[in-house]
Amino acid sequence: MRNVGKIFFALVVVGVATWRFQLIVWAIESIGLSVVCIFIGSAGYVFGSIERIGAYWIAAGAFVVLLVSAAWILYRLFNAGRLSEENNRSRSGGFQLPLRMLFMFVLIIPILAPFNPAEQGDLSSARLLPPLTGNRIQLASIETGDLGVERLLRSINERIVHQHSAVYGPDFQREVPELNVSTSRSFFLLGTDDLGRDVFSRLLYAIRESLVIGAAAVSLTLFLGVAIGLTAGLGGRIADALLMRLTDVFLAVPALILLLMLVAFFGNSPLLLVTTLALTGWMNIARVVRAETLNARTREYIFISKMLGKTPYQIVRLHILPNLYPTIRSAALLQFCSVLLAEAALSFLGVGIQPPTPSLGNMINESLPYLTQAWWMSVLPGVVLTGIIIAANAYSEKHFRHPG
Amino acid sequence: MTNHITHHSVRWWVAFAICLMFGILLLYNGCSRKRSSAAKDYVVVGIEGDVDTFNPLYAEDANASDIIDLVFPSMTRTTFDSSRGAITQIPSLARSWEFLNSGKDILFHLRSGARWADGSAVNAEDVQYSYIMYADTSVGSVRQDAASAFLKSGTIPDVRKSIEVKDDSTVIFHFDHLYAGELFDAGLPLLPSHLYEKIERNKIHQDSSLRIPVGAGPFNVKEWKPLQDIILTPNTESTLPHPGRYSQIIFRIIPDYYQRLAQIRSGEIDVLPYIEIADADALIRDKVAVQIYRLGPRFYDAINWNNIDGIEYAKSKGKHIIPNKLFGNKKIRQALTMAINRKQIIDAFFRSYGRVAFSPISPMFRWAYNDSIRPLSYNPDSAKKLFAAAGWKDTDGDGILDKDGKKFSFVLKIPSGNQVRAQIAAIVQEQLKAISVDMKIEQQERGAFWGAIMDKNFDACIAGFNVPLQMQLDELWGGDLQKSRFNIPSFQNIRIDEILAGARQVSQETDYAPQWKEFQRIIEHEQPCTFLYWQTDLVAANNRIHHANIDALGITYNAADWEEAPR
Amino acid sequence: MMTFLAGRIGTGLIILFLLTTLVFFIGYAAPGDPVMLSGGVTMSASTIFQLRHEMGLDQPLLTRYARWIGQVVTGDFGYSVRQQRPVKEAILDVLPCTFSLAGGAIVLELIIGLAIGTAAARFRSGTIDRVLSTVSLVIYTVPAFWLGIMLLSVFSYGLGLFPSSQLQSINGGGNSTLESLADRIWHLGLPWLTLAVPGAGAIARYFRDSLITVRGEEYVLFARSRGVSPKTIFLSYELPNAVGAVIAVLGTEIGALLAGVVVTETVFALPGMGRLAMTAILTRDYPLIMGCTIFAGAVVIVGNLLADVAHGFIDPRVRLA
Repeated sequence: MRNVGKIFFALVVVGVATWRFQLIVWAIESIGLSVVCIFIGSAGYVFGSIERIGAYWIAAGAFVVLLVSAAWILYRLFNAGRLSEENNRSRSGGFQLPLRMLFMFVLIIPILAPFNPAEQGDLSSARLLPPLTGNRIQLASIETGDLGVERLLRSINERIVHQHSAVYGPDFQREVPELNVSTSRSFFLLGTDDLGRDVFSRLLYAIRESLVIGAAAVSLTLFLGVAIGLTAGLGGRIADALLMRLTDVFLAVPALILLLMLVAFFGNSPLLLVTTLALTGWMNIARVVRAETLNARTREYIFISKMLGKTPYQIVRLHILPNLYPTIRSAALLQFCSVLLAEAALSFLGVGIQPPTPSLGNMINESLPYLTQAWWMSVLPGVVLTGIIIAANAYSEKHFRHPG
Repeated sequence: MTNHITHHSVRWWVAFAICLMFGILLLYNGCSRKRSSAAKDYVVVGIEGDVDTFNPLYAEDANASDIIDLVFPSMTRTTFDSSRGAITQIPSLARSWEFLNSGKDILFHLRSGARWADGSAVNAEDVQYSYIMYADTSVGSVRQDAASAFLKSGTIPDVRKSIEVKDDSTVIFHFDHLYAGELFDAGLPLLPSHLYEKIERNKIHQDSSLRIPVGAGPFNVKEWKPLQDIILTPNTESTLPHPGRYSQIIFRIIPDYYQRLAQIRSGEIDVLPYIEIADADALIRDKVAVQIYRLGPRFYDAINWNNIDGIEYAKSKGKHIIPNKLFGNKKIRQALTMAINRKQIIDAFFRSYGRVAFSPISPMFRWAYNDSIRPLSYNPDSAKKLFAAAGWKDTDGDGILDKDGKKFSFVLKIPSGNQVRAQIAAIVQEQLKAISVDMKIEQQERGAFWGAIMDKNFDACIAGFNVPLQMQLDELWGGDLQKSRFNIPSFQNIRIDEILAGARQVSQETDYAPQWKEFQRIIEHEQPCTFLYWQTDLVAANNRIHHANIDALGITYNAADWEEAPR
Repeated sequence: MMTFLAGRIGTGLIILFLLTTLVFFIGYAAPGDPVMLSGGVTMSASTIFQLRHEMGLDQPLLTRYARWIGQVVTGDFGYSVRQQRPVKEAILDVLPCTFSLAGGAIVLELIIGLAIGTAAARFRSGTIDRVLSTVSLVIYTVPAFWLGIMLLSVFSYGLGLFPSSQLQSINGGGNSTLESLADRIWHLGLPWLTLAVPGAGAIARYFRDSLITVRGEEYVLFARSRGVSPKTIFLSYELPNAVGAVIAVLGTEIGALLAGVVVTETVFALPGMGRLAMTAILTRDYPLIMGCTIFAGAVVIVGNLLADVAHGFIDPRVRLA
């Protein structure tokens, strides 16, 4: 079974590589040319363009890594006939492989998305196209000729960012004359939204947004929860009582309402959003950590360590935290689900992630006017959101609830 | 065992009964919905949000003002002459009037027999009292400006002198100076002094006994269910002009536009203000029994460029006004306008119901509109040349213009909750990118948005205005930024100020047409903001409502005359 | 029992007090002037000054705090400038809607949850169990706001079976009490379902597990060996013991329910607490936001308390804890 999975993975990677070959090549060229540009002294443009183009560089790099590993799998398959089972037993509860794959997925999203998620189509013809339909789009290729390095880099970068789109109008061609624009038909896998943007690409970027916000919020939550839990567990009766009452207070208000209040008072930039999500989510983790800490404190080896003159910091690091890992991991995963849901709800209510950045919640919000005209706009983000959470829940259940 | 059987059977019976009940309910309601096309004696208006208050002193919400006009009496009422594009005043509580003292005073003869809904008579003291309340600073009315505009400095004793009660049926308004809007300003909603006098003036805005108003207009507010319904019933005593003909006018609060739309199709609501064009077309195509009315255009949207340095303005508390580094130059503002394809935006969103705007004077006012002006056309090449001439070039090659190390990069603020504006902002963003101008979009909740705008704390913003029926542009275009709080671009021009000052002195509004035409030429030349479009609002109303002459004045202004169409 | 009750109420009050303090300091730390933000744009300077004075904004921090606590104790949450009336009135006005929404949803949640849980436990480890467990996982995870939108577009916009918004038809739907009751139920059908489904998933999962646990207990095995009918065992032994766990879950689910209320009321345009809070947030109505938050907290605390007490009645061991 595992072999089938690996082969499937390899084939998908090769498939995507074939499909997006051109883009990957442009991105690698862009990296190379940027390095050259920095050395010949037009660093200004390179640094100015990193914000737009950096994600593609990283994506191309990550994709090359994937491609190498896929090639390795296929090579082994054909040479050795079968893949060995070595190194497959999951370490630490099988958490790392999926996490790594998820990380890779987030990195290569710019390559997977066929369109730039913010790029609008021609409003007269590309609005609200249903899934699996096409529309006229414009493709650009670069005129080979005697261009300067920077000029070439610029053209390539424009080509990467816009890919194929409606932006290659006459003005654009005047601006970047090296781009030869030809019209062709394109295909929108999951249709387009009210501004003619590709829903599939937007979904991919929305997933990225959700995962990144979720991961950041959960990390902060974990930090807060573990710190508060440990302090309560080790810090004596008064600290314990105070912190646990604080926990109760935060638990008493429905998280969404507290979130709404904080967002209303302090705003909703992504950073604040992460902080707010963490501020409203640390309580369960703190409780679990405190309970485990109190439990661990009574163990004999702690006494012994104390007698051996270990500092409290060392005891926590060596004896208490390792025991907490399994609990924290499962709590973190559940927290991740609720953060995802909370962020989606906030964005849906219009106070979370702000357009034009796509997020699953604000995509659903934007779909509201088109419920009867364009089902794909409302149904798909919800399905993806539910799917992610079900997957995480099922995963947590499989690996943490019934160990072994 | 028998015991268990009964348990068992009881359980099933209960379950069965519950199912049956639900089934019947659904069937029943399904059927009653079908029946709903029969004649009704009420009209439901679907509105977006709840009103703030029905107290005329404090109501700011547009729906509240509409309802107040139906409930409270006023000296005069406004009508719109669509052929001339001008408004006129007709008698209401005032039966007739005479101009005295070469137009500076107006003597009003009050109608006799007008009564408040609680039975007491509407008398001349009520008129005087109302204006005292509007003008009194301790009351803090939101209509303070409108009321004290013509009074001789706006303090209480002066109001008593300015509005002279001759006898029970005669009131004289002594105006500070002659101007065109005298009759209009005499038409504020009048308050029942016998009820208001009981309350301390600085407590009026919190008083809950005034929550359900007592008026003398064609309707009473029967019930106000917050976030749900506002129910008006005819004021059977009303003689201003007569009790409403429908037995109920219900304002139903449905925040989501698409729910309102679904409900006008199903007949649950009868009037849907501000329907979108595509939906109006669809209603007609699907032969829904509604009529589409066109309003105005009374609404324009504009991208307001902050002409002054907002930070410096805020720091010096409005004393230090220097031109904005980006938008202080009129050539740049012209260039920005030329880079924005307004025609395309209008074709995409408003089709035949929109037109390019170039000034704040609506084409609805035929007498004042300058139709010889041709608005700047879309021309990104000229835009680029203007930028280059002003020294903005992309020297570091990052795709954004710069000058002296500063990038042409700014934030466009838009209020949240308006999808069209958000979409237009996104389109403008793309179009400006084509001339290497970097614009970021920031959506802000309305309160915060206006807070920032009032503090001049913005680069550019999309804001639109509903133009008043009277040509009053001081608040929007006056050069004194402390006074003209809605001068969002902070545009200052001496000639504009002269025209605005002159407009306050004319006795007949339409006499001032040449100056208003000049005004439009200056605005078009200076481009303090990029006017985007005039938008004709559409209102859908059920065919069964007879006499629903919805026009520029609003939707419900003649609701008293609405009645069921004969079948 | 009394000491147990007194202890729980005491804790609840302390938490409520701390919550009030927290809300005050969040409001204090928030940037911007509450008066200016909530509609001050068009007010005259004197009104602003007067309002600031009335709201005590010109006082030092501790005075304001003391004043705030004093107000809250007497049930006064301040004055909403946007709504132009006391916060308490605004909240009290919308409570019936929220309570009928939440109450009906809890009942529906219990019916669906217990039914699925019982069926899953009855056919334990079979295909039915697996299907039902999957179903309960799916409905437990589905975001309420999206579910609401889907229900709305299918049953209201698509099939026209249910109204899309509001609590009742024009004029209450009819003349008799029965008719207007039917009208309300009809309007609340989809919101109830939206709100109940995720909670039902949670209840089903807990109930299934605790039924299976109870089924393994000695007294159940003993009764079975004595030949007591499965129905009696279920009704007299298994159900009461397993329901205790469900009630505990309900207590903790109240927070989730209130969060669900916010989105459900927004989707279906119901005139309740959630929409009031949303309106308050979108209009930066600080006093109203603070009032709503405290009120929501109080509801959760009381809900937890009730669940605790109910649990204590059913399962005496809890009282010792």
